[in-house]
Amino acid sequence: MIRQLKQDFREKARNANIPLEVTFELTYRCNLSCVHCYLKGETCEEMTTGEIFAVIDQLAECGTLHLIFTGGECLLREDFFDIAGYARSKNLALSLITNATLIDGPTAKKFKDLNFLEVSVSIYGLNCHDRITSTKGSFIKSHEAIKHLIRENVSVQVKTPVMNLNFNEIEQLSVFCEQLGLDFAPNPFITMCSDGTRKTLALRMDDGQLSRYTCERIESGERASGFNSFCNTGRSVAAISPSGDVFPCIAFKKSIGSLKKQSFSDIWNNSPYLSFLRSLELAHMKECSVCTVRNVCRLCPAEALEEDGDILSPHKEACRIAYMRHKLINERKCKC
Amino acid sequence: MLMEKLNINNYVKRKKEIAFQNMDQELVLLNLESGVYYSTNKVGQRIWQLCDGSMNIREIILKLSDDFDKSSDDIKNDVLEYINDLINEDLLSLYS
Repeated sequence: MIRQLKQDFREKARNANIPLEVTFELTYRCNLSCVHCYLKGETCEEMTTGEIFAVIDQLAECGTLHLIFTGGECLLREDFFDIAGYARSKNLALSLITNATLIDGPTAKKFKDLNFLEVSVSIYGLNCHDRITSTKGSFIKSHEAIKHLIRENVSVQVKTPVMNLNFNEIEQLSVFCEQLGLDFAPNPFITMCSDGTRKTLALRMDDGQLSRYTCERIESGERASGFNSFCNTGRSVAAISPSGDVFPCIAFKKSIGSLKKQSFSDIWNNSPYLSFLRSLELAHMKECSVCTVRNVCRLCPAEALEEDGDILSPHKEACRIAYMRHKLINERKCKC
Repeated sequence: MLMEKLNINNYVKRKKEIAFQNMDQELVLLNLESGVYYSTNKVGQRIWQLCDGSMNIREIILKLSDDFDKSSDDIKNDVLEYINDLINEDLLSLYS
């Protein structure tokens, strides 16, 4: 009667349009000022605790299993643990993406007590971290927080956007994570600013830097996951902004409705834009569907739309990264 | 744990380290400690619902026999086996 699942339930959720995983931005406020952040001083009228509880009720009704809290820095909300506790009372799995500077010993224990599935901490490098956050002392605080979380046996992931400012510290950071037993998730995708400007794109690695970084990652045994279907945006994933706007996923900047005016299920089941997204198949992506490096490409249609103007066209940055990896593997420039 | 050790007078309760959600005629469970996902069918879904600590196994069997219009004797072994599986997978606590 009971069986262990692998991935088939995700496929089922996708096919049935069940919002299994929802990314919930609780605030745009942040105590750091990271140079690559896609939020550039956004402010908004945040939902109240009561409004967020009502949204959590609606998500649980719609089939959500996993809530990922992000921001801004969520822990700036004084009601964060009330919100997390309420979501757990609805039997949801919780994760948090945080800079961790506000996590001390007692706070780390709260994550354990609420059975957080994972706390993802943004770390950019052992030396350059404070330069990237524009905040002196931030690395020490985040590092201390990680130690508190480890002590409480909370699962910690280190998330690292890889840029031309920190690419030469990634190997060192990888060793740091390995020594502490942390999951390390470097990511070379730097996104545009949410106001539509491209300032952050100048932080991307150039081809030489990308080649060196990719080689290191291949040699460390990292496997790139490709794609063989249109992504799950608006099907089994969704995102919610601090003011209650709903998005097909965290990468999409197009709001499909406001929770201040409609219920989540109303938006989820009746949005014309979601119907459009759900009608898209890989075959509609004429270039990507026949691409020879699809098996190592992390295509994001939302980023293709945002940056290159067409959801069905290749995302040029994803192409650059995938072709680099493909080339390095084929030319056996790496030991892999 | 061996099934023989299960006593139908024991109470069973879902562990707090579990996230779960109904999905299209089945139940998906996630053990937040191990990260392992599980699924169960409609009957298993109902049993899980009843394992809130307020009933012992005997009462759960009686409730299920009502729900599914089957005799207690017919379903007893299946229910015990299922509860045993849930305990073995560390999803359920057993107490007297």
